[in-house]
Amino acid sequence: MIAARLLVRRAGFTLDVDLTVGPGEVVAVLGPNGAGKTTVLRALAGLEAVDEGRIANDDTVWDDPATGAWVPPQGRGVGLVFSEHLLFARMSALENVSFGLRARRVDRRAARARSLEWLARLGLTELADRRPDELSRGQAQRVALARTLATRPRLLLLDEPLAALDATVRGEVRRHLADYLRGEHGGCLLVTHDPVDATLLANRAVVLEDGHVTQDGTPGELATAPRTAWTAKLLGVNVYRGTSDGARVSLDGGGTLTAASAPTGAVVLTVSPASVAVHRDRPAGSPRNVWPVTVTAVQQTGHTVRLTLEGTPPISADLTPGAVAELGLAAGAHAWASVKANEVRAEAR
Amino acid sequence: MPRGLGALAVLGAAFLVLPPAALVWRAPWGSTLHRLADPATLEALRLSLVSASSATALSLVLGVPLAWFLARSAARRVRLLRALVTVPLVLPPVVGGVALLLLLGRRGLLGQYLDAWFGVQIPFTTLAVVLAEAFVAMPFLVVSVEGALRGLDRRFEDAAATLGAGAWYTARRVVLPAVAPGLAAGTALCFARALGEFGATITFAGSLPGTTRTMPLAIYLALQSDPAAAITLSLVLLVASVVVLVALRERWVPELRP
Repeated sequence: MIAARLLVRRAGFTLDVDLTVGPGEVVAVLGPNGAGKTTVLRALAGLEAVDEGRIANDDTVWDDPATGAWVPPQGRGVGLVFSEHLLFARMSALENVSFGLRARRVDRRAARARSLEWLARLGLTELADRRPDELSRGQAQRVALARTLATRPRLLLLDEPLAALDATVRGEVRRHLADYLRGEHGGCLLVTHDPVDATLLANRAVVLEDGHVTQDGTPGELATAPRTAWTAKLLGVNVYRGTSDGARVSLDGGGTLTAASAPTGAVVLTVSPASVAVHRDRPAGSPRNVWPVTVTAVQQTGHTVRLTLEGTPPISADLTPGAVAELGLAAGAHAWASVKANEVRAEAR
Repeated sequence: MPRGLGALAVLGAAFLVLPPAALVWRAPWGSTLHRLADPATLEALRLSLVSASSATALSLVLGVPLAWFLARSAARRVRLLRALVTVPLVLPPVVGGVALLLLLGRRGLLGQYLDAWFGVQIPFTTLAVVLAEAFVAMPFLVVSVEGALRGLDRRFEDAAATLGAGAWYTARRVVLPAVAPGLAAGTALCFARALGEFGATITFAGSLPGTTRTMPLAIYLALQSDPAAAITLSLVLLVASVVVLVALRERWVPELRP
């Protein structure tokens, strides 16, 4: 269990965060740019010292300015994956993956064998001898992941690991990451901008705004009861897993949605709450996705009202206060939700 | 390009290309091999190679750590230090030689103690040649390596540290390979500069045959007594310089590659 109280002061900015990551737990750290997410990761990794506070892994203190305790990054057993792969340019994929093991004085042959295992696990066996500049971005990021996972980190830190990838490979890398995170691991902190990552990978999410935690809960809780406008906007996005035949997607949780274009197979769908229309009577006309819902919660955040709608599938919708009043929508009201097919974004997962 | 500049450019190129061409043109090719076998020439050549190599080695051992320190420190005092250590780059070498004498000469600030306590006298020895050459040539290495280190993305070192690598392991396997082109270019420049060193050497080490008379000194002396020998020796240094340049161009300075 990693327990951290981080206080870092910079000119015009103070990070003040309490954080725990238990074994096997995946905590998503969300927040706008400049909120201090990367500083959190750097402090936990030991690349930056906290000005006040304490970082401890079970009984081992990693950083505590009050007592002078300090464990350097290489002593913490923390793995850090950046959004750029940062592979060592003059080493092959295999040498990159072996790097951490060789640094720990694992002998050459054992390091090679274990590295090959990790490359195989991430589907990279054929690319073992390639240099980073001979790999695609997605491949390079998988090698970077293998390089970090091969050291068996007791805390895995991911700094927007999928942000630099395009949609087609993002799903693939995310799947490998999900496979690893489903297994036994020491805990993971995932900095991301993408509500899909948070929903698919994390069991807890922490929202960081201007150096402070503004909300802490499951991704679901954050989506249905956002405490700040930023959270509402980011995590309010409806995320569904499903199986696609190319256009119609059967959702894992029941119901179907039609997307204007979707890859076939396992997909993840996102629907912005702002694109959901709500009607008292069944609407006629063009929307491809229309289904009956029941309003279960009405919450106003800033100038929008977030409706939580129960149905198959359940969905959140953002309306103006005027529209909500006009439609007479309150908890318990029956209504119809509709979403245009081109408002349903589909991505392979 | 404005009209008229073209003519000046041609003149500029001629100014740089013609002198070495004249050297090659007037070289006594028939007797070159014979002259090269002359013991005094061989002695000067050997001394030049040994002292330039030693000066380069010394520059690597001291200059790379210095470059590292300069590249990684942002303090104001360090900026002053950077300016000071590059002074030999612009200092007339003969002034450098005088300065070395004042520090390490028999009555120099440090030299008097070296003499009194250890009986060590540096001036007019091969060591003095090496020190004079290193003094003049090391800044080339420092500037080149520092530039390469500055251009490095520090996150690679962060990545190495989180993978469990200590500072030395990271230096050896991540940083040095990444700055290898700058390091190699700096080493070549440093060697070339050491090989051609004249002013500081003759001032601080004198011109003792076999001990301190390197190629440039031998050339200068020969020019007065035996011009043909001077030309032959010059040719040797010219070849050495071209070898360094080609090595730089082919392997280390990709922007010069045709």
